[in-house]
Amino acid sequence: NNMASSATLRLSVIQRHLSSQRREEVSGDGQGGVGVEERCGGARRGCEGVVWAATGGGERQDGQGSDNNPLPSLPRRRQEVLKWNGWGYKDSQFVVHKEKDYYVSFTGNRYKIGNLVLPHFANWVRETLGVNFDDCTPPQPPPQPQHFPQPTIQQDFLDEIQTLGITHSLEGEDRLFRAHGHTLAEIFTLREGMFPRIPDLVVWPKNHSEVEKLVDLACRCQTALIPFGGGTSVSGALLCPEEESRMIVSLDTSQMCRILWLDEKNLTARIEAGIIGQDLEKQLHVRGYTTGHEPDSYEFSSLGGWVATRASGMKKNIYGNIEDLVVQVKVVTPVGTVERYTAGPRLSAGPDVHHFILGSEGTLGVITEVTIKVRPLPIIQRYGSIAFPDFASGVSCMREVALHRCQPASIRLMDNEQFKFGHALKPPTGLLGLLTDGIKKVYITRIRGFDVNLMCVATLLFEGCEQEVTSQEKRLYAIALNNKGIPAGEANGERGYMLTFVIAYIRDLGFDYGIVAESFETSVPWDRVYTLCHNVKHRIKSECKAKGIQHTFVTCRVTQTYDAGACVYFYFAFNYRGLSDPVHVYEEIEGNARNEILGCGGSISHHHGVGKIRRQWMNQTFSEPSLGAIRAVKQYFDPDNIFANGNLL
Amino acid sequence: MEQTMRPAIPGSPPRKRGQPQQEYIDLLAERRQSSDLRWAAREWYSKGNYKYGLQMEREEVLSKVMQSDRVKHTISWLVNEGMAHDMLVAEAEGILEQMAHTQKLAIIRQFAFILPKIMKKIYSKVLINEEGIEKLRSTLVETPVILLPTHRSYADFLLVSYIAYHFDLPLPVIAAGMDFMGMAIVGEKLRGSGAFYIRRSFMDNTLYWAVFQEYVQTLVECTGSPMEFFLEGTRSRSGKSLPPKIGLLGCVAECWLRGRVPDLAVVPISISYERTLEEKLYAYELLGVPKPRESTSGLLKATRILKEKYGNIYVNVGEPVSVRGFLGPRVDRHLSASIPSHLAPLTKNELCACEALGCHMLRKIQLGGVVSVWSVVCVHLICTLWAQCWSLPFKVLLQEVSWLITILEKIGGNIARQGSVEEDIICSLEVHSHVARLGEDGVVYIQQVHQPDQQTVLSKDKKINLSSKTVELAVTHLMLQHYINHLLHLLIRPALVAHALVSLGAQTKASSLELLQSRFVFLRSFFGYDFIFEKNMEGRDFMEGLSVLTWSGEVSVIQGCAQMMHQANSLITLLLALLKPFTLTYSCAAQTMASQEWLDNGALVVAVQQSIERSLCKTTLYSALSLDTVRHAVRAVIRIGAVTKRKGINDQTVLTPDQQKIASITQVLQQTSTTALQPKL
Repeated sequence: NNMASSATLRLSVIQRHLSSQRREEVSGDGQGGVGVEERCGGARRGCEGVVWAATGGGERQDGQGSDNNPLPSLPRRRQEVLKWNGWGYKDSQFVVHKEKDYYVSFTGNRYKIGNLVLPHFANWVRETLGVNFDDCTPPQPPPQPQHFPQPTIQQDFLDEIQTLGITHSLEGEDRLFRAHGHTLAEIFTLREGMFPRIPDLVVWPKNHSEVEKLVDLACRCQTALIPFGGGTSVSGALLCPEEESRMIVSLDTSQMCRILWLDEKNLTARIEAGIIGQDLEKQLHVRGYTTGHEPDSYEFSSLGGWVATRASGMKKNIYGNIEDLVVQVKVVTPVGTVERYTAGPRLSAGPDVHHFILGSEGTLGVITEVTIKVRPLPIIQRYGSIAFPDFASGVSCMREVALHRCQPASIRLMDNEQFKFGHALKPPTGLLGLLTDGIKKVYITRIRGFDVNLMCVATLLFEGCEQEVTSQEKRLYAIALNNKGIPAGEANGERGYMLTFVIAYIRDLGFDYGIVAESFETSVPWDRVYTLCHNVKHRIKSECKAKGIQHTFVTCRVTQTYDAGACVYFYFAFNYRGLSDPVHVYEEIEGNARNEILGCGGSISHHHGVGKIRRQWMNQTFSEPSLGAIRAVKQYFDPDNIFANGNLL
Repeated sequence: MEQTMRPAIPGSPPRKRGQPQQEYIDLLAERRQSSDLRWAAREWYSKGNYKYGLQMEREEVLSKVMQSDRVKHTISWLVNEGMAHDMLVAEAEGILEQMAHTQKLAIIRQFAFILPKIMKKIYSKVLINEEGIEKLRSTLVETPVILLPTHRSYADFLLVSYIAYHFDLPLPVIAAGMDFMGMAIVGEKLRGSGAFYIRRSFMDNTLYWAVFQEYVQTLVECTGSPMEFFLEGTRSRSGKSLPPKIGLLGCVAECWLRGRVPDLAVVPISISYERTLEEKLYAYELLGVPKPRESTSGLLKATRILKEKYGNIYVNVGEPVSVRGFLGPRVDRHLSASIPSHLAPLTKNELCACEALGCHMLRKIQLGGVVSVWSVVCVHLICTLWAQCWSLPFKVLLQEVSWLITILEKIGGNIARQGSVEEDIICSLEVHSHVARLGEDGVVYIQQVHQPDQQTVLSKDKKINLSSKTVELAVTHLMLQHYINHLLHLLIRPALVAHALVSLGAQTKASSLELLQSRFVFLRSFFGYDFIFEKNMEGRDFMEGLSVLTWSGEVSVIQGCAQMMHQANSLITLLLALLKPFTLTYSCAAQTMASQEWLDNGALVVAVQQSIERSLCKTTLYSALSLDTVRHAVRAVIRIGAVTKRKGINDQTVLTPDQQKIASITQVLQQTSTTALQPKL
C-alpha cells in the first residue's frame, strides 16, 4: 500500500544516486568496482558481495576498494562527476529551453523531478525575480593550467610524502576543487574569476596512521594543513588565508571511508571520518541500520565534516544531532592524538574533550575515526503536511508540538513565499492529479477561507512501526487543528523534502540570469521565532530597497524544533542586473541580516558553523574570557598554527 | 537712537543646514471655498496603513494587554508581595479602562467640522509642507511611526489629527495628560478622537507602569497606528525647546530594542505659531502666577480668543528618523536578547541612547521650525526696552530686522517670508498690535501689556513674589522673549562661542582654539537645560558656532588661535546681548546658592527670582525673571557639582555650596558684563 511504498521510494532515491554514480565511475575512472544491476528493486541487492567484518585499520592498496569495503560513490578526482563550479552532480541541473516560450526542466534521473518539464517555474522566476531569459551570462570555461596560481612548494615535504608513498597531486584542477566551499562568494569567484590563493598540494591519506605521518611532517617542515572532507562548507571555512606564506596542503580525507566495524549489541559503528553521508547510509542500510543523520548536504558531506562543524540532521528529533550521535572521536593534532578511551554512554569526568573537537572547524587537527550510534532501519516512513492560514498559526503549532515533545522524525514549517515557490516547481500533473489538486485547492481556499498569499505549509516525516506512526499522526493533526491547521496530504510533504535536495541546484541556474542566492540559518528561543522571521525578512527587503534592488525573493522556514527554541533557515535571492559588485552587496545585506538576527535573540549559527564569514559575530556570542578559552585550546593543540585555515576566531 | 550701519554680509554661508526651501500649502484655502459640513461628512478612509498592522477593536487591545506576560507577571509578583490577586486584576482593568482610547471616525468628523470653523476665524493660513506628508505616508506603510510634534500651545493637540484627516492619513493615537480627561465632554471627545490618558507621574506604581507600557507597545507593535506624543512632556511656556522626556520615547523604542518590530520611524513635526494663543498666560506663569486648572468653563472663557487674530501656523513634517539607524550603533541588543522581553527593562546604556535620540529629535524639530518675522522684530524691540526706550522709528526697525533675517537665513534658518521685509513687519505688527503698534508718525510704540485690573484678579489666587512694578514691566519683556526664544536655537552656538571668546579676553589677545573649545564645551553643558544640544556633538557644535563668527568677519582664526576683530562686532554684540538674561539668571542662581545651605525646593527658586529682581535696578533684563530659566539654572548648578547634596531631616535634600566652584562659575558667566563691549542699542 501507500505507506510501505513511500518508504521504499525514499530508499530508491538513494539507490538511484548509487547506481548511476557507480556506472560513471566504472566508465570514467576505469577502476574495478562492484557491478550494479540497473534499477535494483531493493536496497540490499545493489551491494551484494560486501563482507562485513572488522578491518581494524589495516592497510589497503592505493585507490583499490575491491577488498573489504565498497568503493566510494565519488572518485578521488571529484570533478569528473561533480561540477567544478557549482552544486552537485554534473548530470543534474536546471536548464532553460526555448520553444514558443521559455520553459525550465531538470536533467538527470537522480532526483524525482529529474527529466521533467516544470511548466510553472519560468513564469515564477520572471515574475518574482524579474528575470529576462534572453539575457544569459554563462560562466567562464574551466581554467587552463597556466591560470592556476603558482604553487608554493616546500621541497622536503614533497620529497618525504613521495618516499612515504602517500597519494598526492599538484594538478591545478585538484587544487582548485579543494580551495573553496559553496558560499555565494566562492561560487561567484569560480564562475567569474580566480582565488588569490589555493592549496599548493593535495594529499589523500588512506588511514589514521598516514594522517599521523602527514601532521608530523607538516610540523617538521612548517607547512600549513587544511583538512578537506566533502567540500560543502558554507562559511568560507575552506578558503586559504591570503596572507599564508607557507605551503598550504589540502588534506583530503575522502579515501578514509571504511566502516571499520559495526557493533550490533551496542548499536555503534566505528567509521573512518572521510566517508560521505550517502555511502555511510547505503552501507549501513545493507545491514539493516541507519545513523539517521541526514543533513541537507548528506549526499556529499563527510562524517568528519559533520563533527567539525556540529552538523544537524533533518531527522534529529529521533536520532539526535551529531553531538548526540558521536560516541568517540579520534583526532590527530600537532601535539598528538586526541581520544577518549571509554565508550560508556555518559561521563562525569570534567569538561567533555569531545566538545573541543565538535565545532573546531579544522583548526585543531584532523578527525580520522568516529564511533557513532546506529539504529535499526525504520519499518515504515510516511510523509504528511499541514496547511495553515498564516505563518503565525504555523509557528504556534510548531511550538505546541515541541511543548508536548511529540515531534515526528521531521517537521518543517515553510512560509508563504516558500509555499508558493514549491508550487512553481510542480511538474505537470495528469488529469487525476489536476482533479485532486483542484479539489484540494477549492477546499483550502474556498471552504476553509485560507488566503493563498498568506497561507503556509508544514511538511512532516514520520518513522517507526505502523502503529507508532498512526498514533503520531493522530496526535499531530489534533495539535494542528488547535492552531487552525488542516492536513494537506502526503504528496505535499514528500515534495517538500525532495525539494530540499534540489533547491541547492537552483542557484547555479540563477547565476546565468543575473540572480544571486544564498541561505543562512540561526537558532532562536520560541518566544522570538515569529518576530525574528518577520524582522529579518523585513530587514533584508528594506536593505535591498535602500540599495536600489528591485527584485528580491526572501523566504524562511522553521526546520527544527527543540524544547527551548527552533532553527530558522532563510533563503534570499535578488536580481543583480545593474549592480557592479553583487557579491559585496550580498555580503553587506547578509551581514545586516545577521545583525538583525542577533538583535532579535537569534544565534550566530545553528549548524553551518562560523568559518571565516561569521567570525565577526563571535564576540557577540561569547564573552571575552570565553573566547580566551577557545584561543588557549588552539594554542595548546597547535602552537605553530599548522591548521591554518583561520576559522572561528 | 543712534543708527548703526550694518556691515555687508560677505559671500557664502558657513554651512548649509536647513533643507532646501520647501513648498508650503495652505490647509484653510480650500475650506474657505466650500462647506465645512460636506468636508466633515465626506467619504473617508485612510491611505497609508501599516502593511503588517492588524485591525484591533478596543476590547481586543485591552484583553491582549491583560493577557500579556508583562501584566500577568507583574500581578503575580505583587501577589507574592501580599496583595490580593482579584483586586490587582480589577485595578489593572480599571487603569486600562481609564487609559485606553476609542477612536471613532464620527468624533473625528465632529472635530473636522468645528476645527476649520475656528481656525478660519483666528488664523490667516495653516501652512504645511506637502512633501513631508507624502514621505510620512510611505513610511507609515513600512514601519510603525511615532509622531513627535512640538508643544507650544493647547492648539497643538488636535492639529496633527486634523492634518491626518485632511490628507487621508491613518489617524494617530495621542498620549495625553490626565488633566485633560477631567474636562467635561471635551475629555471624552478627545478620547474618541484617539487620545489616551496617562498619569503625570507613575514611575513608582509598578502595576500602572506595566499596564501603561504594555498598552503603548501593543498599539505600536500590533495595530501600527501612528503614535503621537509630545517629547517635551508639557507645553513650553518659554517658547524654547524643553529637555526631552524619555519615558514614552524609551517605552516605544523598547519595541525595537527588544526585537519585536523590525524598525520604528520617528517623525519630527515642527508647529510654529506666529502668535501663540497662550502668550499672555505664559508670561504670567513664568513670573510665578499658577496656571488655571484645565476645565471646560476655562476653555469657554477662552472664546474671547475668537475675536483676535493669530496670524499663520507653519507645520513642518520632517524627514522620518529610523530608530534602528539611530540606536543601532549605540546599543548592543544581543546583550538583552536572551532575557524574556517583559523581564528585561531598558539598560542604562539603552536609556542613554534613547536620551540621545530625544535630543537628536529635538534638534530636528528645531531645524524644521519656521521663524516668524515677528520673532526677529522682538529681538530689536527688546533691545530697545533694554535701552529703556518704549519706541523706535520704523525705518531703524526695518534696517535691523533685514540685517538679522539675512544672517539667520545664511545660517540655515527658515524665515516665514510672505512679501517684502517691510510688508512682513507691518503684517506682524498688526497681528501683535497689543504688544507693539506702528503709529502714523512712522514710529513703533511698544505697549505695556499688563493692565492693573488683571492684577487684582490674579492676586486673589495667589500672592505674587514680585513687586507690582516689576510685574508691570516684566510681562511685556517676557512676551517679547517668548518669540525671541523661537529663534535662539539658531544663534546659541555662535553666541556661546562669542561668550567664551570674551570671557577668555579674546578681544585684546588671541586665544587658542583648544582653550576656546573647552570653555565652549563647559558653557554648552552648563546651559544644557535651557538650550538642547545633541549628545556627544561638542566638536561639531563648536565648529558651527565658530564658523558663523569667522564668516561674519568678526573673528579671525590664525594658526590655531582665535581673535576678535576690533572694527566690526555688531553680530557678536547682538549675540552677547541675547545671552545676557540667561547669564544673569544663572549668576544669580549661583550666588544665591552660595549664600547659605538650601533645601532643594520651591523656596530656593523663589529666592533666586527675588535676587534677580534686586539686580534689576542695575539692568533692565526683565526676562531674566523667567522661572523656567531659574529652575534650569538651579539644576545646572547642582549638576556640575558646585553644590553637594545630602539628605537632611525628613529626607529632604540639603544643598551645601562649594564656594570655590561657584566663584569660578560666576567669573566665567560675568566676564562679559565687565568688558568694554556693550550692546549698541
